[in-house]
Amino acid sequence: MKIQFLPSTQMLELAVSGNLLSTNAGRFRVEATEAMDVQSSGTAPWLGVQIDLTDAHMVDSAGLNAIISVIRKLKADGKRALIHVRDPHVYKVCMFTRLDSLAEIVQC
Amino acid sequence: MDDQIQNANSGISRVLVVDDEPVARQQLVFQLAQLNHQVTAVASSADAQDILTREGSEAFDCLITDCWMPGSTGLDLLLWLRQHDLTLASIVISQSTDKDLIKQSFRGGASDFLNKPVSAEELGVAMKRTIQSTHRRRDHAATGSEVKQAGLVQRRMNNLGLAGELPTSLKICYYPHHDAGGDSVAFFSLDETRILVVVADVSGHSLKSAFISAYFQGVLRGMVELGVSMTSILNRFNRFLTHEWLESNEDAGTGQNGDGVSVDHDHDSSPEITSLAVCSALIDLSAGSVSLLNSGFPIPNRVDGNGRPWPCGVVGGYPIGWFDPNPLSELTITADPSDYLVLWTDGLEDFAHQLGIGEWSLAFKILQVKEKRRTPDWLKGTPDDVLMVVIGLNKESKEITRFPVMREIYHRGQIDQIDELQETWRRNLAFAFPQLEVSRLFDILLCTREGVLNGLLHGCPLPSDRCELVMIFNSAVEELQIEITDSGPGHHFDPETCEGGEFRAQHRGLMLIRGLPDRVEQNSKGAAIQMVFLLSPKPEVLNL
Amino acid sequence: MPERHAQPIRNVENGVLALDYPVGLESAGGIPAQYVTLSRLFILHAPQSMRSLELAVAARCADAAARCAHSLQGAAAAIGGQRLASTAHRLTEAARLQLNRIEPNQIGPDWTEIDVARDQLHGELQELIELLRQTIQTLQT
Repeated sequence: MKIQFLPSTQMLELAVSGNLLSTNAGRFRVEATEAMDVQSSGTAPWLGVQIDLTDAHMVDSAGLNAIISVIRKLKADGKRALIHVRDPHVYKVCMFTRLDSLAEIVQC
Repeated sequence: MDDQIQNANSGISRVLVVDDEPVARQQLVFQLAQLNHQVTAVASSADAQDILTREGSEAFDCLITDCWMPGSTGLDLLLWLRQHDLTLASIVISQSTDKDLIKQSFRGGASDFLNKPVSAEELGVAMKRTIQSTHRRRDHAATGSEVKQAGLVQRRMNNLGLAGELPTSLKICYYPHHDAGGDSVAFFSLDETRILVVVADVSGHSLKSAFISAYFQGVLRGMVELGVSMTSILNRFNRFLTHEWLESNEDAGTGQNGDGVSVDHDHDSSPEITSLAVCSALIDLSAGSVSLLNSGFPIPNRVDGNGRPWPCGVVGGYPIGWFDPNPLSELTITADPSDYLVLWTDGLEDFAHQLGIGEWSLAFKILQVKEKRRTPDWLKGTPDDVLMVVIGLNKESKEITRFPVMREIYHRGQIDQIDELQETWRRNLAFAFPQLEVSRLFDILLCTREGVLNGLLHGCPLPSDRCELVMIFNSAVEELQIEITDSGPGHHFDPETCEGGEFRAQHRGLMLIRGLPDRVEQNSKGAAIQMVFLLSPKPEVLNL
Repeated sequence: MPERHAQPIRNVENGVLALDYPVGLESAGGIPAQYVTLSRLFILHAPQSMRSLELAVAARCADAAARCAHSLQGAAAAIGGQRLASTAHRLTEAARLQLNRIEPNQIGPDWTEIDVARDQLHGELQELIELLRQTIQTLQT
């Protein structure tokens, strides 16, 4: 996963390479949490997290759960959650599981 | 022809030499004459082609050609030869030591490459080897045409059984890889309500195999007419293969080329074992039963009216011809008029393995191809004969509307391999439904993944528990039905009635399964899930 | 003994024999009569190859020049004409053509070298033919 801070939007971007499935969801959650903690401990202000799923063709329930745990943490800190998707199937899954009620879903 | 035989016997071979340079050409003529060969020499590739056409390439035992010649080169001549006579072996002779040239020569079909100037000894060795190669190739070609003839006779005999009315529907899908030997189907109407179907797969593809296959068919027909039981027939044939046949092979010893080697196995002087994998099905329509006898054959399947496959038996026994006595695997099953019996030879299983897919998706595709009457290119690359027989247990049911596409069984230990399992499903679905829209494919894969993970995680607490995945295609409504069943106790809650945030968090997977398919059914507290997907665009329709 | 007579003056230059009779005889299967036949064929055809070579070099046609030189090389080697074979080989190399004609001519022929080789070949061919005539005469007496 590629992690970078976008100064223009003051968002922390987490770009997932490939699908987010049960086999890599755990690692995603751990790395995302660490990145958010590091960002919080710094002095630069940041508004939230942008999860880049444009490379994904599939997200399963474990992947969704991992995303939700990231979103929950952000909400607790008063931060924003944004999810970028490209594949229509992934978009459908996000909408279907009502992820749009917890984060902004943007179809690229 | 007589000259050739005489020459072969006396060791005099006829050589065609091609070299545009007169001195080198004459030198080669002298050298070859000293080695007792009858030499014809020409100065160009065109002259060589002319003489081979006029006198026939079979008049020569060896071709020696220079490489670099004006006009058509030696390599061009080799190319021409490959198109006209694959049996005439050749030597390329050149002043050049260029590695590429040497490689091209061999790739072009040359048996040997010699550097000028060639010593008499070197030339002698190369000539002997090359001429032997020509003779060997010609022997094989002769056998090949005889094998083709045997194959044609076999296929005609297979078709003879199709005459007459049967009280059941029968579909035979046969894609032979070899010219002869291989698979066969025989069926007999014993009376108005009983049919006997016998599918056999003989080992090897030589003339011997073709003989055994034909002999078995004859013995089978004769004995069935006399009312002998299949068990007795198979036991009797097993004794024949393990005793008389083996003994007659030991006595014969020498193969067709007379040097003690059988045509099929180079340098193997042990007597060839010929074996027969057989599966017989005695169908009793009035009793609603099928008695199966299996001898080394892949397990047959009963496909029920819902399109669900049920394997008939666990082990198939040994092929006949291996051991005496040979205990046969017997099983009697009950069957409905809406059921089908599906038998296939191991050629189908091998082919599926080669394609990286499961047997059912291959069987499904082969059934579709049957209607087209034209063998597609992908079916021409089979590693062995492919034979599948589908027997409807009701003459009235002409159309197969529900057929399995996949059947897999998993255990808890495979949870970590879920990505690989998913890839297997993707490959099978892509093969069975090449027109399937990508988004739909991912819906199916995701729901299957969720269902299988759910089944393995929650439904297989014990190592012995199993999660079964079955995919069935219903061509009448163009729906793919996916059934995931686990042997566990099911959820402690009822997924049908549970709602709320807590449930959602823990069972997002079940949410996906409920919403993405066109229809869902859950039974046994979630231990059995059935998801139905309408496939679009429309895949090919199955028809009997 | 033919061997005694097949060693004329100037036969060896830089260690390379103009005519190596024993080698030539061997390629003729050790039979002098056959060697005579091959030699006669050489005397008959080689000058024609030389003329074609000269024309090709004059026309700066590397492909044709190399072919003619290749022919001469083979013929000379067949009767033991080592020096001519060696020079002819040098000329084909200088033409820098791939005999299998797959690789295109990357570098281009070395015409200076080809001209030199051509001149040498001319002289060497005359010499070799003379030596062969002498050898034939010896063998037939």
